[in-house]
Amino acid sequence: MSTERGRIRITGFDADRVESRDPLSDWAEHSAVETQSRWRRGWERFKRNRSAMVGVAVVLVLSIAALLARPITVAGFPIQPLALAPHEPSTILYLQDPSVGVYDPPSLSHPMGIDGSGRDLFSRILYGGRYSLSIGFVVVALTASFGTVYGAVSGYYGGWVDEIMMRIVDTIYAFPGLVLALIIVTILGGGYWQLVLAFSLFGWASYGRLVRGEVLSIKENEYVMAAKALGARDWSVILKHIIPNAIPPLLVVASLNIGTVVIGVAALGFLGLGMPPGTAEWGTMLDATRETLIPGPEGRIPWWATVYPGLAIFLFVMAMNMIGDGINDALDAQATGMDDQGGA
Amino acid sequence: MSERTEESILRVEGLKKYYDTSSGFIDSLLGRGRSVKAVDDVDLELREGETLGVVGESGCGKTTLGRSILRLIKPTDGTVYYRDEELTAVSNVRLRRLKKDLQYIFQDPFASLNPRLTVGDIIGEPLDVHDLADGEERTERIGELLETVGLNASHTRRYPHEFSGGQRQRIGIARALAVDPEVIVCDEPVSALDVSVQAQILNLLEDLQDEFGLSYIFIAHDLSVVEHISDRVAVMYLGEIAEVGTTEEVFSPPHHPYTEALLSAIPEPDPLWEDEQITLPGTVPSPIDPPSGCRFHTRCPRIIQPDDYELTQAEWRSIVDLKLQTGDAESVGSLATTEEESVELSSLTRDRLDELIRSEYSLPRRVSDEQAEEVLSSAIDRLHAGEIADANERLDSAFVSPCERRPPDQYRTGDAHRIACFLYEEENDEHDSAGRADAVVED
Repeated sequence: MSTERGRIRITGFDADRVESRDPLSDWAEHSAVETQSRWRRGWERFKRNRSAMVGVAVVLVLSIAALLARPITVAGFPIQPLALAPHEPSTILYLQDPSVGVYDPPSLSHPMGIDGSGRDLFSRILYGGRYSLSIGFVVVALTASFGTVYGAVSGYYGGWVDEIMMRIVDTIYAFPGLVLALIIVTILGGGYWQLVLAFSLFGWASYGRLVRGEVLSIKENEYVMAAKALGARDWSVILKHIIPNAIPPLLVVASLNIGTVVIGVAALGFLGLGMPPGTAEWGTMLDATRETLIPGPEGRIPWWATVYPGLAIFLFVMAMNMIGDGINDALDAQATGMDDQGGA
Repeated sequence: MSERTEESILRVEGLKKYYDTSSGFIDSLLGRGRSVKAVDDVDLELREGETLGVVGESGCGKTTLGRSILRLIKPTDGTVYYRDEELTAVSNVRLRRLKKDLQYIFQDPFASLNPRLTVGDIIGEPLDVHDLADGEERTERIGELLETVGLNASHTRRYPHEFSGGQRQRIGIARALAVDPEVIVCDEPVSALDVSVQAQILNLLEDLQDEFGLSYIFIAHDLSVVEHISDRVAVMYLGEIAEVGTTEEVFSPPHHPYTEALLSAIPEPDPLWEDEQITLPGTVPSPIDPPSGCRFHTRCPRIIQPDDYELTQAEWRSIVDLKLQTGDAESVGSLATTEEESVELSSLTRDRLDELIRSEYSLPRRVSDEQAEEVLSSAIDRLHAGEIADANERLDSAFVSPCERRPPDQYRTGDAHRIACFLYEEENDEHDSAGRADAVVED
């Protein structure tokens, strides 16, 4: 027995031996596979999701149809010469062709029938996608980008900045979004950009709150402190480390929100507050044919006048929701299935 | 380990970091918050080309110390000098520039690398931040750095999750090296790795030190790691430096009682080795309300007796334990345990309670000092009467260790060796008549 330490030495742990021992695994340079980024993996998973792909197909078809509905000319030059829709959306057909009457049922020459002002519904629905769809994308692009920056700043700096910025968001939250949009449209009058403004002015609040929550957890990560330790500026830490990590949940909310905005626009249109009356926007079209919901003088209901615009709204919103769910599943880190890569 | 010059490159004076525990702005408005003294009045010095090990148990403030030295978190008080520049006072712009010289390696190689960036971008970030290289030159430099730390230059396009813990730590090291720093604070860089990989990383750090003339502050809780890599060692306890000196000095007597306990806890593979292992009683006290005087006195096996008594060391330690616990106790029941759970302590006779308490604190039937025995038994009388506060008062006024009265200075016990313990106060007076050895400044 002894109280002296170090009488037994374990030589197997000599550093030199550790350096030159056999490799721990059979991994070798040539067995390496090309790196798959997280986004690519997400895309692979998304592609396998049938309902999401159906959603993408529907949105694509609707968008392309809207784009090709009528020729587009910029400053006199036709940049899109195709015309899928047989008539101009605002042409009143019975003025040119007396055989066409108001509320004619669907036929071969007018596949969705004629509306109350004698216009071809099929042409109007194709063309109307230009307003309804683009408003959804434009509003979400504006609100999501502003909300992201707002939330990132609020969450990153914390303290009083956060306190004040979040109380502003709370104030906006106190009012229903549609009511706020309604007020703005009433003040500014109808029109495309007025509608965009109406939905964007306060619509960013939900993104702000979402991103702030994400940032609060992301900024606790050691790699954020590591970036600061390197001497990185605040904005570069926010742009490079914080926002990219906050994007996945944002993307899900944004894709679902496109549908919500489209419904909102249609709702305002139905109330007669959206686009000017007579515009081929889906909600406004529903409004214009509102009286057909009650049986006409001969007791018949011209169902095509409301069903087709409504169906268009329904199809698009449904498709957007399916895409949103698909993105959610694809970016969910917990989900397995495509996780055939190593690593933690 | 490496060539050493006597010039100090980093000097820490009276560094303090207190955290506020108030949970919201209403708390702070009402002043309800209390401060956690994570680092309290630390003096340190790092010389050029040396490795200074900082050891201590979990929660003693090692990481906070390392981070506040580099101003990753803002220190509450105190100054840090880098060469002749006061790091704690420079502007934010200047501080960012200085990050080119002062780098940090993080403990957890899994959390400290952004999972969304490729290895090339992670290592390239410091190059971008300080505009050190771009384009072709940047790519080349990244490859070079990867090879310096023993990885392959072709790994630039991979993501962190494709690497093992040891490889990730190498990436973290490469990132710190990218700016060609002078000082690196290594915050437990090997504690998240398994033992065989630890050796590789430690050797890598040593090789890099020789190659680039780096100075390290090496934070660790593993004494054998610290002994292996450090030129000098500082031992921390509860936010303060207990002992500092060259590695040989710290690892050989005289010791601070805390260092002694730490050293005795190093596992020994020799089955025929038998030495007294010092087990520290209790847990580390809360840094919100640290003990008065020497912070280690609540657990110190070598706590000093006042001159009035002649007790054995074990008796004295037990009496102080009893005294400290009556201060916190709410009922007599928490001071003594009975074997039969059902027995009501209040119904016990005076003698039975006396017996229980003495056995709980392993005190003999009569302690060896008459005067002490008198106070002790009168305190137990009070406890029997259920008056804990009164008992505590009696113990408190009679048994006061010099260790509790005032905090010890760092007493000089060798060339560069300083121990913050009153046991070495007299030796200090012989060597150093100035009384207060300010830090480890003069050598």
